Amino acid sequence: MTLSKLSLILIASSFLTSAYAADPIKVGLSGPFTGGSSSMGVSMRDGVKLAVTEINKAGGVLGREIQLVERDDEAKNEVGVQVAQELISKEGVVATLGYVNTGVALGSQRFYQEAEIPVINNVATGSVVTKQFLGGDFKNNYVFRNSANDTIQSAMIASEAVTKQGFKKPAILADSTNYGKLGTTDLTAALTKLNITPVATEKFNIGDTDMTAQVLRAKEAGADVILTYALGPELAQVANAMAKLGWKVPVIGSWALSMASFIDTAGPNGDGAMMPETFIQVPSTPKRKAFIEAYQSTYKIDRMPSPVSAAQGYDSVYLLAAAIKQAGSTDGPKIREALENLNDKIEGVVTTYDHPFSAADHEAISANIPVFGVVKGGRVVPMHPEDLEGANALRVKPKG
Amino acid sequence: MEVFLQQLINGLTLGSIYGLIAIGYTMVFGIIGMVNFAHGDVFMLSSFIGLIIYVAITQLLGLSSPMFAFLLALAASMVLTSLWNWSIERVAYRPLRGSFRLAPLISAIGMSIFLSNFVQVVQGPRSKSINGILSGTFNFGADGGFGVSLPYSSIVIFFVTVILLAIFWYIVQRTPLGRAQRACEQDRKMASLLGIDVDATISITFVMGAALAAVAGCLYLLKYGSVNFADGFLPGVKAFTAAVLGGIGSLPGAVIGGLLIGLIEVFWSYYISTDYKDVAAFSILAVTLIFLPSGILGRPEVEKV
Repeated sequence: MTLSKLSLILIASSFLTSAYAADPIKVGLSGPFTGGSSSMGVSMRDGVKLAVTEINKAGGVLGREIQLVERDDEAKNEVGVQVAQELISKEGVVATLGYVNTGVALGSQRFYQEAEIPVINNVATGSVVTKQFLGGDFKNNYVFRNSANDTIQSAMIASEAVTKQGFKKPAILADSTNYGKLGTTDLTAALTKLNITPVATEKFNIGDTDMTAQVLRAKEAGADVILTYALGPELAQVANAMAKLGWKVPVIGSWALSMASFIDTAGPNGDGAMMPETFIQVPSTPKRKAFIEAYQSTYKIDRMPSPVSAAQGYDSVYLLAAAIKQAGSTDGPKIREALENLNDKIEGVVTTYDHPFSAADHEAISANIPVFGVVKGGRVVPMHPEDLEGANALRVKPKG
Repeated sequence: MEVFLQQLINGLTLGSIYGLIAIGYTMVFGIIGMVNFAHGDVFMLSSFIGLIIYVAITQLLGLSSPMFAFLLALAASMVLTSLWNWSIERVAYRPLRGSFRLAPLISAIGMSIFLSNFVQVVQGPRSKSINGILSGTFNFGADGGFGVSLPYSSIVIFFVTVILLAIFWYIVQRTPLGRAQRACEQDRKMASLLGIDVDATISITFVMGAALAAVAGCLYLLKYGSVNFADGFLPGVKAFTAAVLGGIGSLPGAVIGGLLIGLIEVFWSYYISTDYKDVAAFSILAVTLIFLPSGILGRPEVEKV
């Protein structure tokens, strides 16, 4: 190689780097992109990417662009731990978004807590997720969340089934993961508050296809409504087993009943399933309309596989970006402090975030935000359309 | 009583599917003495092939009768899966036939991993689903009370299994091809000296096993309506257990073993615990191997001197 050629390459490469004068801000993304929860993981990732692209187009944060480092945690606790360690020590991320599975979140978060790097859970709902490092020996909590936790969801499920629809003999069907177990606990507690004891509590494993035994036991116990805490593919088999046994009772459950894997596999058997949702694919505000259109045109898809995950993923990026901007730094403790005292109102898809977090409260979504959705003809639609109309459309966390 | 009848129906349906897969294990083991660990994944693959063809027929060609489309998909899946299994034998097992005993076994495990990963890459990690092929049920018992339901699909699955078992048993016991297969099973070298094309016979055995796996794969689709790239493993291992329980090498044994495993799994999960239903199936494998190593219908191997 001649000297002139070499210098040409050197000059060319210097131009390339000058386009990004400052180093990009590395943000970790951990979620299940394969396996039974992948419709949530992939939708969440797509929502996150959409927001990152928008922010980078508008000039990035602190004049630097956001660079996503995505890793598949396969919904497995041990893989999640590996991903966390890699993102922290090898990639040096300034914060991590993601976690769909409560178990993975609980296993992996301690590494971020120790490294003082904030985590924003945008899908996982287990009630303990944000309380793992709250109080006690921990001075500061680095775990935040912008999804509706199970305490909120289970209370909504119980009151819908018992108070509003008047069922007295609920059966709980849940999977045997942390998600299902913790959900069952929350749901039983919520029912106890209404003086109701479930007539049956049944479990199944991830990947099970035959739910007839569990459904049969619920049927024999005389259940008049099925309450669920499980994921799409298994829920679909519950609905199919009910159809095969010719047993028709309403199904009310956690928001996983809105997963495409449930709706598609259960087909007509899934119609009528009800679940609390922070976001339903309906353009009820200008922001939601823009988001749905951007998602559809970017990913060439009409129905989002998991609208809730996509919307929460999208919002989590804006929350983080606002915190980095306010902190004026990518230092972990400073970002955490900024998240706890966000001054700017952030207009998100799910809600408008006005001081969403405080030192004691790391939950951005409050009980008044989710509304009930129902599966109808292969889509999730609002159960009460008036919930998303006019002044009701935008539900904001009360101050306090 | 109703619950017992209901679970009997469920168990026989599930067991039929295990039985069909088990025949593939048992035939291959009978003829070359090798456990084809990739067989469960061949079953999963056939299910995907059936699903793709079914969707293609109903969506692209607009065929309105789901049952007819399903039968077409079943036939096509049997042919294509046979081709796959033929190639697998040709590529992964035949070159190792003269090698040490463990080599083809390891190759089979590798093939199993390859197949499930291949499907994951090509078809994506999510469950693929179709529904409404055959969704009706007969209902017995009082309205509103606790009745027994018999889905049409269960009837189809059970009778298809019995009919196919009869056909294949006839082929193995009564036709020249079956005689050649049994000859290879007893003594491969002698069979080839007597003018039997051993390679071709083994290939045909793999093709027959795959065709039955394809039937099982499509019936699985009929029963559950969805399939995932990882769905080959557990039914595969349970079918293997069924083949051992029934007596490996015996066709009726495989189906009886399959039905037993299906029934045990279903009754165990209703009366004892759903958490440990897989434990039940595999404990049986261990117990059978200890106390009844040749299975229910298997002949004990007699070493001739």
